[in-house]
Amino acid sequence: MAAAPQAPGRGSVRKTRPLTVKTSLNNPYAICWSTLEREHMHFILQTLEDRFKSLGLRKMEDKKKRRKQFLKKPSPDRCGTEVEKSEGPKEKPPEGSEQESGWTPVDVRKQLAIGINEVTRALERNGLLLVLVCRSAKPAILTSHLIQLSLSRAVPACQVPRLSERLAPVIGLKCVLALGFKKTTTAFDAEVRAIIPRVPSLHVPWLQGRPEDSGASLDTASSESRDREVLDTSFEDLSKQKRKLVGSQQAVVLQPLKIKKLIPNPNKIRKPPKGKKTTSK
Amino acid sequence: MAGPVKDREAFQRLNFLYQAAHCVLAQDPKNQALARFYCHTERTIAKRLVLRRDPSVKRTLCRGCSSLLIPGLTCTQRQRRCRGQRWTVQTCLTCQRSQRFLNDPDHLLWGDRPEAQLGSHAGERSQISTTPAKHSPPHSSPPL
Repeated sequence: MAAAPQAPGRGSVRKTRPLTVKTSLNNPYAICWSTLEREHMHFILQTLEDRFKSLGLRKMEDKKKRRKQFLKKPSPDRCGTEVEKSEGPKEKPPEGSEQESGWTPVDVRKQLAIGINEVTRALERNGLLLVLVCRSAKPAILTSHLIQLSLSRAVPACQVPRLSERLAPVIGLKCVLALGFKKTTTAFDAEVRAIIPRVPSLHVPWLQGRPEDSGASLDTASSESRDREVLDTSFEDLSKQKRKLVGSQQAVVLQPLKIKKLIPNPNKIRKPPKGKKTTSK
Repeated sequence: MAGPVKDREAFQRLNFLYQAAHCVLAQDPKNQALARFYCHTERTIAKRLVLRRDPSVKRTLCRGCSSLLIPGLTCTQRQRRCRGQRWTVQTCLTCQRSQRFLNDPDHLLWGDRPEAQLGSHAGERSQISTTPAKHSPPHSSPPL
């Protein structure tokens, strides 16, 4: 169905021959995080770091290192250890007397959602006030679902470039890719209120055709504009705000068709051929 | 084939259906049946005309029930560990079918790589049925 048939040269396979370009339907929506300004980023990181340090929020991980702890001199108690700031913040818990890995203090920990799974679950239950995501997540699938989730729950969310680098050692974890502040939070109230205005708003073209519309979404093809009129009337009651009948609509705008043209992969792993075939079919 | 794309109208139909499914869910999150119907139609069209869709589109559609997967609404997404590796598991809430993606920081889909884009130099054609050219022995030729 796709490209026009081409007469093959029967020579070596390395010879460049006219390409068969594969066309594929590309996603019309480009869902991505909004960019955060540098000063806001610094402010957010600094505030959180200070707050965590002042609260003494730390995770003491005890599971594997318990044996090593017995060899080491056991430190007196929890409060002492968090003050002296253990040597290896990651999996080197200083305390040996506590049997289970724990957070200090526990109630503060309960006001936060740390980690992607926890943040996702809390978002699904509508329990978060603010979501911060680290930009260093690779591959991006790890956190890309949080965009739509938080947008549907109307929760401000933003991607902060060096969240994990700065906060993980402070908290005592290896990596903090996502951080959420629950609605019941008391300890972080002031910080949350300070951070929220600095968070840029997210927009997804299909979910909210609100003022922060990307603007690059006028359709070009004629057939699409015809269909758009049909859509227009059906969404009339949706958009209570003023909307222009000509041009971009407030509620929903159809994105233009995006087609990706690909060149087949020369290093594609292929099945070994069954044998010489002179004609195909 | 650079300029006019074959079956452009079909692509437009696919595009429209895909966006319409999103809009339906935006407007009425409970009406998942309609979104599923649109996506099912889209899948049927693509199957019948053998149109290729980008992985970013395919990953948002459930393969079992062809409903539109929106995290939080119609699907859940979790990070899980399996056999020592970390996967992202996406589970459709209607048919409980799950898709797993390996979290490999170095992995990049072929379609996203710069050398795959039109404009860079070529390789051989692939084995996929969309390319009908008859070929020399080392490749198994596609059914035509």
